[in-house]
Amino acid sequence: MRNRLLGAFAGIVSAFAASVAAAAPIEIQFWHPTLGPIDDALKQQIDSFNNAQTAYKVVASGRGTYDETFNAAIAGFRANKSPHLLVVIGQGTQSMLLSGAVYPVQDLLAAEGHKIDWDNYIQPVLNYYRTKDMKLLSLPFSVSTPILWYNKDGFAKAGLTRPPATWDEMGEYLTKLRAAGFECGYTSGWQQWVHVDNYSTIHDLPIATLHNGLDGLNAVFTYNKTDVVKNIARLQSWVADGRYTYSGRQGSSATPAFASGRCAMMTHSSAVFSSLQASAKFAFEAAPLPYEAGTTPHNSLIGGGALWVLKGHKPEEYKGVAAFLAHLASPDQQAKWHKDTGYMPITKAAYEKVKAEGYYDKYPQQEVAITQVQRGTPTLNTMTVRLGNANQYVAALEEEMEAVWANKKTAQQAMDDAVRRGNEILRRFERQRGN
Amino acid sequence: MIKRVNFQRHKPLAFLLLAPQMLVLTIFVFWPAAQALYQAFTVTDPFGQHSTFVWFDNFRDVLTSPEYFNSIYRTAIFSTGTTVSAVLAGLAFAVLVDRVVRAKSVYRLMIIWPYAVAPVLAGVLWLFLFHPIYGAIALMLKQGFGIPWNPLLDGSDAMLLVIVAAAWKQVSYNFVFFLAALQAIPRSLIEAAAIDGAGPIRRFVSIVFPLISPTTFFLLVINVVYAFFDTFGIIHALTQGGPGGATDILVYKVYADGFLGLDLGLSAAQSVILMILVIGLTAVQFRFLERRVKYAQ
Repeated sequence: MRNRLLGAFAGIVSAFAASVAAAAPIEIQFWHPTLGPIDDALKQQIDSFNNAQTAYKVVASGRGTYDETFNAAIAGFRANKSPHLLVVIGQGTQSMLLSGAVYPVQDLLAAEGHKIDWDNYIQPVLNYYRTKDMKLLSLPFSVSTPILWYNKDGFAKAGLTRPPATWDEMGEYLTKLRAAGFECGYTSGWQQWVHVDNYSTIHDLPIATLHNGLDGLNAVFTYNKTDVVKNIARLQSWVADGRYTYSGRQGSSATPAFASGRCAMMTHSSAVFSSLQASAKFAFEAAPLPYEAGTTPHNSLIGGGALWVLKGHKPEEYKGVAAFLAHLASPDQQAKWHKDTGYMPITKAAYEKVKAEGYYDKYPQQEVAITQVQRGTPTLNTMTVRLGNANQYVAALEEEMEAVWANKKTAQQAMDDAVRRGNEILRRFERQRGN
Repeated sequence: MIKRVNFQRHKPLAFLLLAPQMLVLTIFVFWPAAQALYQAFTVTDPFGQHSTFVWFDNFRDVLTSPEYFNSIYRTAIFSTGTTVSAVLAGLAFAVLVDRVVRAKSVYRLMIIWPYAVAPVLAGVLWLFLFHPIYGAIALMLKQGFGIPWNPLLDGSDAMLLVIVAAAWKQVSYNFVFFLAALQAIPRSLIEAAAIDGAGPIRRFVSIVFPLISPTTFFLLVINVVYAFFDTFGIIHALTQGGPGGATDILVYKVYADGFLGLDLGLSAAQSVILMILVIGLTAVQFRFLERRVKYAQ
C-alpha cells in the first residue's frame, strides 16, 4: 500500500518535472496594437516561429490602439516590466530614440551573429527608421505609404482610361468625374500625411530644417515657405467647387466614403487594400500619388508601425528576439504578410518572389506602393521625418487645414499658424528631453 | 432624532475606525492628486528619463496660447448645452413615464438603456449616422430637407452633434433620478390641487417642480461635472476637437496633450486649471442656486 502510494507520488513528480521541461522555452513578450483583421496574419507569423523551434516562445499581446499600446509600454518601462518587442507608430520614432529604452535592431542582430545584407532591403523603407549614420533602429513592421485609389467603373463612365499623373491633371479628371455623376470627386485619408509630408518628400522639399529633424532636436518647420502652400490653396479651391470632399481626420472615414462608391478617387494608405477588397462593390485600381507637372517625383514617405527591441532583458532572451526578427524578415514570411495584410514587404527578395509568382498580374494595386517608394533618388529631405510630439503637431496642423476647407483662413495664413503652433510643440519636446 | 455615538472619550478608537477609509482615500485620491499637482510644475519626458522643475512655465504656456481661450469659450457653450438639454430631456421623459399607465417598465427600460453604452462606442455610432458623406441621417437631412449638414467643416453643426451625443447618454441617468423624485411626491397633494381646480401645468409648476427641486439641483451639479470631465471619449470619437478647434473643450485638451501627446506637465497644468474652474463653478451653484431649493420638511 505504502509502496503504491510512493510510486504514484513519484509518478506525479516525474510528470510534473517533464511538464516543466516541456514548458522550458524562453518566453519573449511581444506587445502590439490590435489591428483588426490583420491580427490573424500576425498570429500565423508568430505560430510559424513558435512551431519551427522549441527554444523560444513568442507571446503576443494586443494592447488596443497604437496610442494605447505606447502608453502601456511606458507604464511597463517605468515599472521595469517592459516587453522585449514593441510595435510603435512611425511618428513615435523620435520619442523612442530618445527614451533610453531602446536596443537598436541593427546592433542586436549583429551581436547575435545574424549576418544580414541590408542592401537587400528596400532602402527608402529602412531609411525612415535609420539614424544619420545609417544605423537601423527598428524593424519596419506594418509598412504602408499613401497612394491614389480610383473607381475604375467610374473612370469608364467619365471616359477616362488611365490614372492622372499630375495634380493639375487630377483637377481636370475630377471635373469630368463630377459631370459623370460623382457628387464627391475626391477624398483623402490622413490628409496631413498625404498633402504635407508626402507632398514634400515627393517634390524633395524640406518639411523642417536640419533634414526634417534628423540632425538635431532644434529643427523648425518650414513647410509654410514651400509649394505645400500652393498645394493646400489648390485643395481649398477644390473644396469650394466640390471636387474635394473632406471626410475627417485620420483614415477611418475616408475608406467607407470611397468604398461605398460615393467618392470617385481617394488618396489613402496602401494598406487599405484588404478592406477595399472586402467592401467595394466595383472595380478599383491604384496609382502612384500625383506630382506637379514639370518635376521629377522622388520617393514617398512610409508610415505605419515598426518593431522596437527594448533594453533590460537577459542575453539568452535577446538571442530569441534576434531569431524571431530574422524569421519575420525571411522572404517567405514577408511575402505572406504582404499578401495577407496589404502591408509592404521590406526586402527585395520578398518583392521579387511575389512578383515571380505572378501575384501582381492579378493584384496590380499591391505593387504601386513598392514602386512609389522607390521613385527617384532618396535625398536627406526625403529620408524621414524625425520630429517629436507628432501627435500634437499633427493635430494642430489638421485643425488649421480644416480652417482652410471651411474658408476661415487662406492657405498661407493656416500654414503660418500651423508652423507657429508646431514649433512651440517642438520646443516643448526639446525641453522635455532636458535641453 | 438621529442617534449619535460619542467618541469624545475614545479618541484612539475613533482614529482606528477611520484609518481604513483614510488609507484608501490617500492611496487612490490624495496621492494621485498630489502627483498631478507636482507634475504641473515640471517638464518631463514620458519615459521618466528627464524631469525639470519649471515653476509656472507650464501654466504660462497654457495661458498664453490663443487656442486655450478658444477652448474655454467652447467649453462654456458645450457644458451649458449638454447640461440644460440632458436635464430637461430627463425631466420630460420622467414626467411622461410617470403618467403612463400601461407597460411602464418597458418605457423605463428603454430610456435607461443608453446609459450602458460606452462613450467611445456612442461616439462611433453617432458619427456613423451623421457623417456628411455616408451617414444615413446626414443624407436624409441633405436630400430630404435640403439642410447642408456638415459637422466636419461647420463648427456649429459639430458643436450641436457633440452636445446631443453627450446629452443623449446622460438623459438616462437624469431620468432615473427624476422618476424616483416624482414617485416620492405624496399623491394627496396633487389630488388636493386637482380638486381645487389646478390643471396639469399649474400642478407641475406650483407643486411638483418645487418638490423635486433638491433632485434638480443635485442633477445640475452632477451634469456640469459630467460635461466638464467625462466627455473626452465622445469628443475623441466624433470630432477630435475639430473642425478647426470648434469642439476642442478643456477636458479633451487635457486628454489629447496628456494621453495622446504624452506631454504630462502641460496636461497636468491644464487639469489643475480645469479643477479650479469646476470647484469655482460648483461653489457658485451652491451659493446662488441652492437658495432656491426647498428641501422637504
